[in-house]
Amino acid sequence: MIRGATVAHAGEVTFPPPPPKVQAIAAQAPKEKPKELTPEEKRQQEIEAFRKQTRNQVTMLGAGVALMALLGLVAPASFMQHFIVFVLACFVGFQVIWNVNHALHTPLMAVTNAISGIIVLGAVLQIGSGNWLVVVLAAISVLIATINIVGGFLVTRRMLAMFQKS
Amino acid sequence: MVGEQFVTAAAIAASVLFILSLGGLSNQENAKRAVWYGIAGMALAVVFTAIGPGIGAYWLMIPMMIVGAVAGAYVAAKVEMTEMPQLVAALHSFVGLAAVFVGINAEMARLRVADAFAEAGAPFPNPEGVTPPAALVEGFSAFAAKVASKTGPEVVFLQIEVVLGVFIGAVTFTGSIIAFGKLAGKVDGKPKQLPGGHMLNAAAAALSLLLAIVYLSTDSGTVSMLSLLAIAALAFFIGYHLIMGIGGADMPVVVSMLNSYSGWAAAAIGFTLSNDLLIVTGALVGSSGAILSYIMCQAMNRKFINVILGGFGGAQGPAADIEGEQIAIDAEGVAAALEEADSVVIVPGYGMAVAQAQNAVSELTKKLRAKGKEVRFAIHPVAGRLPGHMNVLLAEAKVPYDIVLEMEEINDDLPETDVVIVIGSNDIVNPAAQDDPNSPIAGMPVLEVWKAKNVFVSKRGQGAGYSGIENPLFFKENTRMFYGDAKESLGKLLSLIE
Repeated sequence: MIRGATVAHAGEVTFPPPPPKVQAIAAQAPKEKPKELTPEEKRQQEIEAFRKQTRNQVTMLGAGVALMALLGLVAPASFMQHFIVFVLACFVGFQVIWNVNHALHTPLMAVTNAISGIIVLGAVLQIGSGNWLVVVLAAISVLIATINIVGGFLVTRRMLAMFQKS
Repeated sequence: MVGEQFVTAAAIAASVLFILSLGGLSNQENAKRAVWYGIAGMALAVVFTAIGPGIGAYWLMIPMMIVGAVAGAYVAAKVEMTEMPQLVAALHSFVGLAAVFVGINAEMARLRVADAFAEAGAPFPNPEGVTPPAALVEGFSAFAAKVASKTGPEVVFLQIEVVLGVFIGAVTFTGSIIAFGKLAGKVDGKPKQLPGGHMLNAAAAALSLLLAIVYLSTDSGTVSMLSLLAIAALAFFIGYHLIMGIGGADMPVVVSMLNSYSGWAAAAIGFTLSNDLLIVTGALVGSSGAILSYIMCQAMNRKFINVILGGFGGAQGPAADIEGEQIAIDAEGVAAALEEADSVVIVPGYGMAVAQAQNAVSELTKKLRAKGKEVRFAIHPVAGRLPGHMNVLLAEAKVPYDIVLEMEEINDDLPETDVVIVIGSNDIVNPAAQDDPNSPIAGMPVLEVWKAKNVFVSKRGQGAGYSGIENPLFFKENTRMFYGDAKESLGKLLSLIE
């Protein structure tokens, strides 16, 4: 038989005894077991999911094509030439970035930061023409974009050099 | 001086080199080479554009580049790895500001061309099929010359691109500055908004749209310039107010998002200047930032829009009560358990970086590995203040990268692990994410450390962490709390392990 006991210390009696420690586990929420599926049902679900995916993709593609056609109605030819470059570059970007190692996401941010400093070209194209205000704004842009390029690339290089194999 | 065709050739080479430099990040060894591709691409692009046709003011451009390069090199050499998030945010703001300036310059060039045409009595924009007088176009150089030969719809699109570039650039600029302030602790990390909240942002966005219509339809140079500046001012406000409303813990998503915006701003400016290299680069950067934001949101099981509009996930009802108590352990106890263990997994969080305990962790790893124990690190995607931040911090402390694993890679091995040491992380090891549907982080993928045989949690004291969410892990039977500053506790532990 086990009973709670109490101790008297220096004339002080602690009664009733402190409750025993409960097990240190959080109250388990009752979990519903997922129902076992028969092979036929599984197959059925897979087909459903595949159909849904196809429907979604076709809808998206259709909407995309319609949007392009609308753009083509109003946009000048020179814009469309650049636009195809833009869309293809987005696709290349998505493919390439999905393959980047998760461990290298910080260097990825630093290096994309550096190459987005390519905006310096815009400032370089403008710095020689126009009034003093254009020159000043372009000069500041050249300055900060260069900080971006050099800082971004060098810090990326510094980070990557730290990654060593055991 | 080289001709236009050489500038284009350099641009093609630069685009390929940029793609290679991003693709090289698929593994650590290739990445070291790939960064040089990026540098070479950038050098090619800048040099060939600068010596291309119609460029001037070298007396100003070259000194500016030198000053910028020195400043950039200085910052890159000085910055602490724990400060990387701030640096990245600060650099984004530069791209944003440059986009605003270049956009405003493009507008001034358009107005200048329009004035010159009006003076000469020629119609501007050029009617379809009419070539402008050659003498007029020759008066302009570089960008202005391109504008001078544009037709009506082309000029309208030019203006749309300018508005987009300036707007996105301005949001990026102020947003990045606030993100920088919050990450650096210079701005209070708590979400704060002016009365009116997101209605103010919506109103500012609607007003910008209205002003954009005014800008596109007006014939007066003054009105168009003023409306463009007003759009920039409103966008500055949106960037400031939007990011002020987001808590410090969500800054990783914000920084990824601003990374993306800086790319889209560059792409918009590329359209303005009809420069394909800017468009390609902007699109690459834009999609990269978008993917990073998506990955971060997935790792927190939250919707992107929910992060941006502030507020934590949908917590419904009270969280499940936690029974039991946290049981403490001293360094001797941890050391004894480590001596017996064959496999050890360390779960670092940002708390480790705050306590500057990386080197102690690395030292511990070295000692344990020297004894023939298997030591690995488990990294949650949102550990740290930036995607992949923890990997860089560990690499800096000379932890070899091949023992640093992702959450998906290591979760299945945790049940067979003898000892898990959690250092300065909380939410990413919270079992409530799986057990308690009422928890604010319910559904978030977490590291299942409680399945290991022993879990030691290095923590400064009792109480909930950064996010204020209770962690049932601390109350589990196989968990012992190793209280104290992470650096000091690990130092003590190190002296006990021989």
